[in-house]
Amino acid sequence: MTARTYQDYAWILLVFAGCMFTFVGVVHLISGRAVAAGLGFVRGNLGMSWMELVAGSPELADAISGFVRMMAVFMLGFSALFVAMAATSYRRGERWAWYAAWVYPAALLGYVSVAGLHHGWASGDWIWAAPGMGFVLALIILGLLLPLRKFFPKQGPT
Amino acid sequence: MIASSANSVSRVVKVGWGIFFAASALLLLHGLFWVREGPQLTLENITERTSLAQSGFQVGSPSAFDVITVLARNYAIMELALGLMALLLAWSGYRHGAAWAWAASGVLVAGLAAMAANFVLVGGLSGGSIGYLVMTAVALVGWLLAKGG
Repeated sequence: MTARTYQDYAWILLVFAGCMFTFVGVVHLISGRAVAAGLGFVRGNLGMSWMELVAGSPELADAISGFVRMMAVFMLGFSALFVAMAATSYRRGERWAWYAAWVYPAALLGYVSVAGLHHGWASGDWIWAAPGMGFVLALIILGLLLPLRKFFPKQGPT
Repeated sequence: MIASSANSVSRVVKVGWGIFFAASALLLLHGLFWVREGPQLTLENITERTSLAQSGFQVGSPSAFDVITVLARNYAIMELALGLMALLLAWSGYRHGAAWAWAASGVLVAGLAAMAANFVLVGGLSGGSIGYLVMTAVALVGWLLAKGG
């Protein structure tokens, strides 16, 4: 594969990353409870299992899963806009799309930072998110760096 | 006559994208506000709707308050990301009027409407639900005006 191929098809990495976010959003929306139960920091902070929380404080459990669902609406909205932008303007090499694509990794790092800054990085509360987010982050960074010359061509001698 | 009609359509589309840009900016500003105030407002909302007592919540259940704080800030981050992406899309639509940008922007309108409906159904007309209703209305007007592009 030539360098030109990497430049021309890097947008596919961004579309794939966007679709993964859509999938996560759908899961969040369909079952806020299941996602809340699976969140490592919920389990770690409350010192009890999700089922114990549901039994002991069903209102709090409902509030947490409701929050997860509300986030899912925005996650789906964001991923739809991101995929549309990646498949059109980014693919055509429009520079604003390259800058806009950085919103995704910034949001992912924001998620990890909230857990890390709130509880301290040593607590490890952010680790539950690291593998999945790390993979998506690597995809996006690759998708942003591979076509760098396409968006910012070298200025030749005049 | 025809030339002036084409110019007026173009102006309407630009106005539409400008209004949509404003709605996106509102969402972005709300996200910034929520990063700071979200945890406390969320706690108040939960204790208003449930039998949990706010006065004892943070002291009696600091870990539960922590969970709510983290979730509220994650929600704010998602609002910021969506608002910023919609803002950039509106700017692109204003400049180029691409059909795909208009179609994709409908997602923001749908998302805001869903959020507004959720707030109204759960808590009735309150500051939060009215805010989302206003954002939805502004975004919808802008989106419909921008359709001609």
